[in-house]
Amino acid sequence: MDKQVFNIMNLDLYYGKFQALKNINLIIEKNKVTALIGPSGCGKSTFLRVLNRMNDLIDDCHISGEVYFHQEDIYREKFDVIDLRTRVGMVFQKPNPFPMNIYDNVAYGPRCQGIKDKDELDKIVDNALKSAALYDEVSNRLKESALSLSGGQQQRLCIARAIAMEPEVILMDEPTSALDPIATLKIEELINDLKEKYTIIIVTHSMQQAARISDNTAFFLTGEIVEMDLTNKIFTTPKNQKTEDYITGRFG
Amino acid sequence: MSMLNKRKRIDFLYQGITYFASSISLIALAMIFYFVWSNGSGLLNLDLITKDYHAQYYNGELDENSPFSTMERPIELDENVFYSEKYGLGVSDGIDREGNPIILVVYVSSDSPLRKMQDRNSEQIISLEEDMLISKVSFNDKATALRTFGAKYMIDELDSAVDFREMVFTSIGGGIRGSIITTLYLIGMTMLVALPIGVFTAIYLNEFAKKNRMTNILRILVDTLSGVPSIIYGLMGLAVFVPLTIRTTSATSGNLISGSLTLAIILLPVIIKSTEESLKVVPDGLRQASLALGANETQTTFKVVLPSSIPGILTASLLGIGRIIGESAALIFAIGTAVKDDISITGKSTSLAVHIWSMMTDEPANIELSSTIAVIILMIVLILNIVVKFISKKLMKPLA
Amino acid sequence: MQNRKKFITELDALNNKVLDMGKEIVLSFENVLSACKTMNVSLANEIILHDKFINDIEVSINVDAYLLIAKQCPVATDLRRVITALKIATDLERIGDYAVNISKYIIKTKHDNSQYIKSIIKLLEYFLKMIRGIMDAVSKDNIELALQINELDEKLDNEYKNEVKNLIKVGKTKSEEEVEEAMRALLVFKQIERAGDHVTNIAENIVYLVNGKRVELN
Repeated sequence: MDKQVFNIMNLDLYYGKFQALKNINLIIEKNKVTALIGPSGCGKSTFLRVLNRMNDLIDDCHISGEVYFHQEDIYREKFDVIDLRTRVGMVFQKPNPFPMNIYDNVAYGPRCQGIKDKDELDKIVDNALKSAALYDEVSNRLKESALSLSGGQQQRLCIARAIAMEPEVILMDEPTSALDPIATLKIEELINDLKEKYTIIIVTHSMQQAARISDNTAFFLTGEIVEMDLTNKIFTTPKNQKTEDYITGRFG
Repeated sequence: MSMLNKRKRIDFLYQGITYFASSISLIALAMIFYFVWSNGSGLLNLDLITKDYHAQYYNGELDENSPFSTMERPIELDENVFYSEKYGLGVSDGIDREGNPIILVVYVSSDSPLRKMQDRNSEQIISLEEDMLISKVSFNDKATALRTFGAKYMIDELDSAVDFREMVFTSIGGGIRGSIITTLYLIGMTMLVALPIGVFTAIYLNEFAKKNRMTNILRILVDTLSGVPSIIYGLMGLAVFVPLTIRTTSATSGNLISGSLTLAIILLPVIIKSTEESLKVVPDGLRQASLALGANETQTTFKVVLPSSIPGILTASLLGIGRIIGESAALIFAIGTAVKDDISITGKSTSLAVHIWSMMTDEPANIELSSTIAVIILMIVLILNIVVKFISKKLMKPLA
Repeated sequence: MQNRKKFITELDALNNKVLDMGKEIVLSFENVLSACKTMNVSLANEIILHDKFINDIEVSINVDAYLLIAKQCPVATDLRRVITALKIATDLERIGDYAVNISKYIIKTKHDNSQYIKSIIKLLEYFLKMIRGIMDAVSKDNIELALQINELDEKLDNEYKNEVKNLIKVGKTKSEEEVEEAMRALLVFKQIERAGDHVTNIAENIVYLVNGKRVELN
């Protein structure tokens, strides 16, 4: 039963009067990589932000339906959003390290939760950097500005920063779209390693990326999920003609 | 062909207008610099900045025990300096800013008895120094040597008499030390009030305030305030802050506190605006990243957003300091125009800009000293600008 | 950090499946050989069953290769390796079918075939040498070895032609039963000859894999 991390039922989302998501029903499995694909403006990023309630930041955004995170409706009243976000981490499209040193970047989340003990923080930072496959590259310059790192390193630092919170789920919003191909491969490799410990949901513009790294794929089109299946099936024998058209590049 | 020619002509016309406009502004700026520099550079020296404005009067008599000895004329003294070997004193003729003759002390030997005179008013030891002015020397047995008789006459009289009854001399005065200190006080006290209030207001407006009508009205108010002429702030300072400080402190009239508070109000819109601008350019990605890590809004604002906007806030403060240095109209009411040498925060005094104003309203107007102060103000503003550029470049780099 | 660890692991797995399939084929033919020597019907039945297993491997190689192409977009050597694996698997599957056909021959033979079985065994032994060699070449990506094995095919073809000549003579003089046996033996010879041709195909594929060049051997 607890193989389900998220269970989304009949989710509708509106920006003002515009309906961005229509009747989404989806189950996110534990320790799997779920890819959300679809053309621009199809609602996949919006959907991703439903899962850690980042849409709260948008003033006229409101939703209906239920989003369960381990049997807990995260949109019920008085739900602790801060707690949710410590358990559901997020990595953004553009690498966005804070303008501080590498160590402080990774320690930021734990510090915000009130962890002050130096040894404990050291341990968290080391582990997070190791998990993000960045430790070897930065261990001797933790006090340097995070902005001195390359784009790929910055993005892995952002992943390390998310990992430092020891979340269950990591949401990734097109994490490689601002990176060069080699840095992209490294991130993909990292995602493959991370799925042993974390549940990963990734929005990607690259169908090939979805194919390479995900276990499950959901295809979004104009705010609806057209097809959701094993990645192996979606990319060899999709059931829906629209999916077929999109992944073969015949769309539109 | 003619089409092409027409296009070329229009092109030439428009470009010509821009060249013309920019050369006009360049010439205007250059002329300001030329004017203040040519008028003011003559007085520009360290004494001006360190000396008092008001001349100090001294009334000295010779100490009975002072030994007399013959002191030779130093060879470096100019030809037109009149020298007394008896007193080791060299003086020359001069004309003050009002056109009156003066006697300027050029040299006083270190062994001279004039170095250790008795003050007739206070029993203190006073000393005649170089660059002081001698007004008159009175003798016991003959007529007083006034400055109007000239330097030669005075030296001759001094040498021919046994001793003298009284020597009246004054420090040169006209220094702007007091105004500089007042300006520094104003900068410190104003920023102390305006910076925290301005920055926190900007944070509220940009980070926490809901985007509703109230916030909009507040913003419009801030914008309007920045357009109000500063003389109106001065009136407010006179009507509100001056009585307030008189009631709550030992002040009896316009003072540094009321001046600083008035300036703080003038600066608020400036600081709020530029802080808000610098908060706006902090990438939203940083806020989102922080929130997504489970930080709350306060943590996000103070740990991520504010540090990122420090260059902007710094720029705002330095621009504010520039405004403080340059402000005159408001201060005339809020602090007064009395040029002072002893500065207290509850007393009257003037900033550099008001110093100019008060000297230009004197009769006759002291254009030379005003220009010198203007040069100093221009230099301070220039240095501030360079510092602003440098710091923002340095601090902005990691944000790029 | 090695990039594309997952892809490389999957590609290696695919390659190993092909080698495993080769081993199973060799095993099949070893069994065919011993079954021929004693005309062991039950062993022949086993070989037919074993072929189902070999076919399953081929299907699984196909699925893996399709997924690799669909999901990982292999290029250059990686692409050639996937394509080669697919083709070699197809060849091996055909070779497996020939083992089945020969087994059926063993099962269905009712008359005396002692004069042909000796030649069949000789050709089978010869083919075994080829299939072992070519699988060795596959496992080592070794063009030279592959070309050496390819040379052997010529000899196998010649043997086959001689046998056919002999068999044609049978048709003119012998009884109906003898002719039937001869025809059936001819089919077996043909099977082995075809199997040899597939070994040649595999050799071509090794060249393609390593050099990226298409060669026509024989």
